Amino acid sequence: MDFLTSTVLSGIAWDGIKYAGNITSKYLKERLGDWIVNDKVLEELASKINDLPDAYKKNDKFLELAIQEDESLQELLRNIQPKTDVSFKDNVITGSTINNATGSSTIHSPTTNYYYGQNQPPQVKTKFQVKSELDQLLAENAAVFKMYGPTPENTSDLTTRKHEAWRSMASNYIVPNNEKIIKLLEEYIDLLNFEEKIILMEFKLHSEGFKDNQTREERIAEYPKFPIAINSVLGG
Amino acid sequence: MNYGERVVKPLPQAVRQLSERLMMKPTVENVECINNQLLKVSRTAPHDDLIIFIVDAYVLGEGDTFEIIKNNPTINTILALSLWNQYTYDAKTLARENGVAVFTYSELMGAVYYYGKRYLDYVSPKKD
Repeated sequence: MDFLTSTVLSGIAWDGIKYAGNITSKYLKERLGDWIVNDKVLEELASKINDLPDAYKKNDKFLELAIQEDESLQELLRNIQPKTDVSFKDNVITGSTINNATGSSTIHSPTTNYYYGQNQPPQVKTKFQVKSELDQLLAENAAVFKMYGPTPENTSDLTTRKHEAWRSMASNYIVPNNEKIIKLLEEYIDLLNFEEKIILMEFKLHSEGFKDNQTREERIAEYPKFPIAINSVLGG
Repeated sequence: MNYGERVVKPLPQAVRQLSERLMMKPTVENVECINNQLLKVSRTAPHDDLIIFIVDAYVLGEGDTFEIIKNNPTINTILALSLWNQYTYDAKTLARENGVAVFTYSELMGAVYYYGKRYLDYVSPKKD
């Protein structure tokens, strides 16, 4: 029996929370049109999600975790069934698209309950989810760069030893994150417009060069610099 | 975030620190800031004066070195000042052929004790 998953609910709820700070039963009703769910349950869902600690309302992943861990929410979810005219293929709703709050992307959501630790099917992410992951990875890189990289603040100090840690920090954090960014954006390449695809290509060239330079005794000067425009891919 | 910027002007604070460090060297008599990118270092005899062109270059390559020497014919030293800076072997070779030394900050701090060919060819002792 298929029922509404934490992933689907958190995606919908996060789209609302990020814009309005909370969600209403009316908002949920509009977005759960393909599911059999009465107004009372919608009220409870909205109320329980709104009551979750603010710490879990930072991004969709945290929200999903909070929903997964809340037994009362899980109980409500288990009783929400899809309408019969929704067809399923490989555990993905194919006859239904759920517009997110921006109206700019759709969720094709897996509807089988997969518990933690079991094999999970590939999940299709919304544009917003992809952007959130991208921002997270870029923010991590920025943090490493700010701490150990050649920023104006760091380079103005000729007594610092941060430069001695820079290569290992770049290799351990920035290089793998760059690879994750490329994998993520290539997986969701259809979400990118033409200019963004060019930016991705520039990022790939930079990333390869940056990685190579971390292991070289003599760096190559001509490798392209970090394309700042990557920060605005999928919307600034 | 803009790591990857290649050859830019050094920060004034860093140039100020550099001048102070140079002034502490016994072979240095005076340091004059001609501008934010050009230093004249007067040294005790028989050490010749240094005209240092300062850059902040994540990697100073041959092409940039050629341009710097072409545009600044009076210099005898190019300094890649930031501690993150590096230069290529080709850049060093090209500069040396033109009588110009290319150093990092730590190299200059050692090279300043030498003059002539020993200054030009100075290499920092390797750390253990």
